Amino acid sequence: MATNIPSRLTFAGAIRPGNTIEARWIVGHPMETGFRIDDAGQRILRNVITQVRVLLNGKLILELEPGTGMSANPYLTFPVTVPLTGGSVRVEWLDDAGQRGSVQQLLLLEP
Amino acid sequence: MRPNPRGIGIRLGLLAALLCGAAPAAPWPDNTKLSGNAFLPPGLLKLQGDVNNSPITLWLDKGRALWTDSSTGPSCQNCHGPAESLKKSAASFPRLAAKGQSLIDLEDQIVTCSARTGRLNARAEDDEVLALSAVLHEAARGQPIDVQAPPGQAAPWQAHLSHGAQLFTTRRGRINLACVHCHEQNVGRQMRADVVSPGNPTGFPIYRMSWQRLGTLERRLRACYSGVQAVLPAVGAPDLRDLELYLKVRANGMPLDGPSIRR
Repeated sequence: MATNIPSRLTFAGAIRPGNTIEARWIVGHPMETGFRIDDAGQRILRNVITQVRVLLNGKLILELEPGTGMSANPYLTFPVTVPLTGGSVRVEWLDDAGQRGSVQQLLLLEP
Repeated sequence: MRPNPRGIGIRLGLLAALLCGAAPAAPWPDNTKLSGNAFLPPGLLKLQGDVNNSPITLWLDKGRALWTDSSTGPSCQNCHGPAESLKKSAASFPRLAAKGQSLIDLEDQIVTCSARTGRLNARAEDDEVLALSAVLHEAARGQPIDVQAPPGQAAPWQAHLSHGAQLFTTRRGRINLACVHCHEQNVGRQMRADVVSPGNPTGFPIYRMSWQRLGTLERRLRACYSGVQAVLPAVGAPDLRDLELYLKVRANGMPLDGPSIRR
């Protein structure tokens, strides 16, 4: 299912082979807990991100299952060790409503 | 009843002690032309300045894309050019509507424009409207607030301003406080875990941590009504626009510094 939920992935630190940098991912997801009711008294269905997968050059390096305890617009930082030839980091997510999204950033080696 | 001479003596003594002793420092800052940023904890201030990590960036990205999006009709860019060309305009809201005597703020104007460009049923607190408001306020950063009476329509404008000033000083709610009691008379003092700011509306729209999203000045004002346990005015109520006009006129000349993060 296509989605227009925005997300960003950025890196902090020098992108050099073997260097460990910090990757930061933020996604504009409402993270609806399912505990709230709307103005009409109806329960708002739970819709949180249930699965996040981080891939470095196609290889899984991190997998997590956020729950209702995480607030809206989740923000995640994790370390990435830059491979010798650079490459790319890709973050994929899936939520209760069946929406999925992904964002990819190239690890462009610094000269 | 005869005045009690001993009581008068005690009072005179107290007065003398007050005059002779060092005057206690005012608990609030002398300068009340302070932005809400001056009251923000360092961590949130840092987050706000960090373009890559601030949640506001999500709205700014969306707004920048919307500004040039012409899929449903003419884009904002088609009529207005780049967002920077509207920075003076963004600092001059609320204004009297083109027709009639009512006040509109920037988000109302965006809603009106959205209808014109084919995005019907937009509301002030919609993500898209907030995103465009954030982009315009970002473009207007540093621009001094300049809210003036429109030429030829000074009388209705002044009536709105007077009503706003009256609302600012009228006690309301079960807590029975007026805006002036906190935001003029107790600026800089601790209120529970927070420090009271002078309430200058320079940083809107705001990402308030408890809202977990961006919100307008109107939403913040309604939260104040809720805080003093008063009857909430309806969304878009004229009272809120009048109060907004008074706050903006009160902060005339202060630079805009939104969108910003608040607790």
